[in-house]
Amino acid sequence: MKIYRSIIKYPVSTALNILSLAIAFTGIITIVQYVSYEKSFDKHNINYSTVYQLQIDGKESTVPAVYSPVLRKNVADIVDITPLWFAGGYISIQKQDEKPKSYYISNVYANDDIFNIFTCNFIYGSDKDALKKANSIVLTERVSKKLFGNINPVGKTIKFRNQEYTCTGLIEDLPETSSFKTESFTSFETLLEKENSFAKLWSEWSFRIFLRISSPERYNEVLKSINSIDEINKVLHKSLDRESDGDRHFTLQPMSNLHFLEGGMYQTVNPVVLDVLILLAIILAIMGIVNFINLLTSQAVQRSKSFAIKRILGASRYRLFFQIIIEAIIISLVALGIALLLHGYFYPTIETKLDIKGLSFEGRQQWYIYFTLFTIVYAIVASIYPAKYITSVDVAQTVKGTYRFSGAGKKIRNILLTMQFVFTIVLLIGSIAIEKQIAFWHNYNTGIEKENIVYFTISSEIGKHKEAFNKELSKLKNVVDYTYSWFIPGGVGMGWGRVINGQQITLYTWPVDERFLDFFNIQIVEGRKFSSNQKADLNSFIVNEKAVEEFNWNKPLEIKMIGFDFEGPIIGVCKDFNYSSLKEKIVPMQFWLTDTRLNTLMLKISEGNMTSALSSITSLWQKFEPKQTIDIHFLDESLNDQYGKEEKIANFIEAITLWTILLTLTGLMGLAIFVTQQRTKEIGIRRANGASVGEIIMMLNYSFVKWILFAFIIGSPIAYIAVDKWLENFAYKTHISWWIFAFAGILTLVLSILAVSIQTFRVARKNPVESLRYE
Amino acid sequence: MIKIENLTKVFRTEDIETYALNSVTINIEKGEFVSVMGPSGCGKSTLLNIIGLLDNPTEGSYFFNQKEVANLREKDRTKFRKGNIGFVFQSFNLIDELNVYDNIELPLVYLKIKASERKKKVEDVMLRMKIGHRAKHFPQQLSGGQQQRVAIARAVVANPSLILADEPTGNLDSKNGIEVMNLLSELNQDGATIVMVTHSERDANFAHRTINLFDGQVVLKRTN
Repeated sequence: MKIYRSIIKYPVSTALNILSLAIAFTGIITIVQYVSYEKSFDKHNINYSTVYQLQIDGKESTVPAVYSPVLRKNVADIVDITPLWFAGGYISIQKQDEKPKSYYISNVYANDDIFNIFTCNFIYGSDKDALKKANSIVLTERVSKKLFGNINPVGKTIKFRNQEYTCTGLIEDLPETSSFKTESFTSFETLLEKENSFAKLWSEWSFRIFLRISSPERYNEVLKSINSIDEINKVLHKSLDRESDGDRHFTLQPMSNLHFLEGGMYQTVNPVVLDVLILLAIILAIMGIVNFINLLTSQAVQRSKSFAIKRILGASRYRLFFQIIIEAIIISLVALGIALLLHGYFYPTIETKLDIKGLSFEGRQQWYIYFTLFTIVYAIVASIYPAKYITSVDVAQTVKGTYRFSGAGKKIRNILLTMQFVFTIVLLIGSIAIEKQIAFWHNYNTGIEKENIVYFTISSEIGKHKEAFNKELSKLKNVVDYTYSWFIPGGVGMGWGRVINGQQITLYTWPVDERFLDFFNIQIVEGRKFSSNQKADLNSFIVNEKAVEEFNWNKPLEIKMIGFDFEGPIIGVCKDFNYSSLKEKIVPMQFWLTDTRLNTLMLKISEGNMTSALSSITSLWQKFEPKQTIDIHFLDESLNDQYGKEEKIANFIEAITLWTILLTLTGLMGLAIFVTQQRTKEIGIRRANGASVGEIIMMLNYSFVKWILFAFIIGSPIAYIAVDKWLENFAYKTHISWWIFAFAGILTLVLSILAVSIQTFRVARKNPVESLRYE
Repeated sequence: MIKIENLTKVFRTEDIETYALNSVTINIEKGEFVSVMGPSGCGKSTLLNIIGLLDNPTEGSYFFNQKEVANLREKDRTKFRKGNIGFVFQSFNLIDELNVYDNIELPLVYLKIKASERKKKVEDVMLRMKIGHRAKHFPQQLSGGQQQRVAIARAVVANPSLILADEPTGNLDSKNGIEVMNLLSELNQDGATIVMVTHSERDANFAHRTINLFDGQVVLKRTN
């Protein structure tokens, strides 16, 4: 009861304290929940510590599938090994009297070892032989439910990727925290069965290989053995690499890294984001402590007198010391309660806004206990200094009213305040700079049109009736132009390594049709465009300027490019344009005129007619492909999505910046209360001697403003270095303009002055008589 | 110079109304030295605060140099106070963080007087108060008597026409007390009007006349 009374005796500072802690805790809870969720990925796999993905030089994960049996044969410590081929497709079953309904599902081709690598819970069938025979398929519950409802699918025949498969097993859906995602497994044997299968080629680098070794301690030996297999090394060293020809090594990527690697087929998270978040959580915790210390010590002057009287009446210093600590714990627990409520209320919004998962406490109730323990320890740590400070008064002097608190406390508070402002300013500058960079990417002229262009992947059915489809397509009123390609701009992914006239080269290859260059208005600087008669120029190439420059080709038009089973002439050189992400420089690339692989259809829509165009395209699609739904994308959106990772970081940092600003401002208000309290009498004296309200507010604000300016001087170079370092990652980048700093500085200053003025205005306006009476 | 008629000041808390001053009428001529006496809580300081425009009365009129000032807004009171009124308090009310020089300079700063002129005025008044050698000292390094002399120096530095002193000797021993009273008398002889609240009969005798207050009312006016 006594403690309760002393807590509510200082309503303003207690309220601010709880508010500030609740803000800090909400941030910390959100970050800890998210980071712990991301860190929990893949741990459900029983063999988590002994599973690896085969890589080359620690970066390339696609290899020929044929490595798999060779490794199994040669390395004794490999217990399980499987090649993987990720290939999704449409799945359907024939039902009596019903049109078959097909669904697009994700799928992986693998052998049975996969189930020892990624733990899967079988409901029907066995993990020993489910994928033994060709054309076997193991379904997840989700897919099976769609196809069969709740009955056992094992033994049923299924149509998948236009082939018949037999269902050999049913597994539970892979957990949400699995980086490896698939809705079904098909037997790798299916691929091997065919004669001339690409899965048997030493030159087909389209597979991933996962393996399990006997124990983590054998890692080095395994790696050594893998790298000393001649059969593989011969081929490997001949394969091409821009930087290090002839010196390539196998590496093993542990499963614990799977979730933290960029790109690829897995669900990943940028580990830098997590590190930054952990750092930010620590910053929030420190700022919370700083505010706590400031607000609690701000009660010192008021509390010292009652404390001194209690001492005279026989209370021990320790008793009061502990009272303050207990108060701190109570305040912190109240703040935790509020923070948990806030978190519970807002986390779905945060998850949607930041496009993340894992913020909920569901299934992780133990974290409530962790956070409570954390809060208690936190409160103790935060209150030791203020408790010592408040109870350090000289009893006799305090009772007489002559005790003055040491300047040391003031210095520490100013340092802490400055530190908070340094954080705020650095984060603010950082978020503005990131936004500026993202805007720069979005607005950059890449040299190709991206507005009013939509695209979708055509189905095999449409592929079969392409001519008829195209004919109808050109009749559509709002479709200005169309072209087929394998990739859309921004996603050119087919890397070719070739030896041309004895010269080793690597370049990207972009399979296109004869309409592509005109569609995007790509300029030719040498030679000619593809002829409109596709047949005439089939398997010819147009390279970009960069290729000519980098390969030192004097007469590019005389070069014959080596294809898969053909040779084709280079008939033109096109002007360089940013066909890939602006994070990267332009590298050598060629257009390949082909009639294969052209499964992406891009359409140019006349301006302002998007809605009607989309509906006519959809009806056309339905005419040719009634079983599947069309999935239309916008090119500009897809191009902007390339910067999604940076946007995500930006969203995170902005959220945290907002949080630190709130925290800093509540802390500042607390400090303002403290300082104005301490200076109340001085304010009265100054007022009696002619100072106006404005002059008093200015004086009080100045005492804070100088620390903010100081923080700006410290924070700006730190922010500059950090932003500059971040921008180094990108080929095309914005400037770090002076106005970013000015804006961050002024915004901080204005917000701070507002926060301080709320408090100082009240005191400055006070009748000077009251101020003078104040002791 | 000061003409107060039927001045009333009521302090209200949630359920109590206290009449600190009740229909007080006083006239003070220019150049006068008036002391106000009475038991604790009789309204002496309230009266002084109202005369000093630190506070507004609840009712009644107050003319300062023929100008009605009873109901001025805070902003105007500040403006009026500046340069016209100097204050001396019982507890000196010096600012601990400022040295003697800066404390004295304060009213001149708020009057926006030029630095060179300020310097001259502060030095003059320090000389007059015999505290020139203490210019760089801080209040806590001075004796009570010295502190009060600094406070008086601050009160007169802007050359105000009215000096208000609230028990100026209350925190001083008798020797220092007499010194302070002598100083005030000198200032009065130089032309300043002084209103002084005191508990001390001896101090009151320095004044030309004494007004006695009891329970917020004037009970006796006496010429010394």
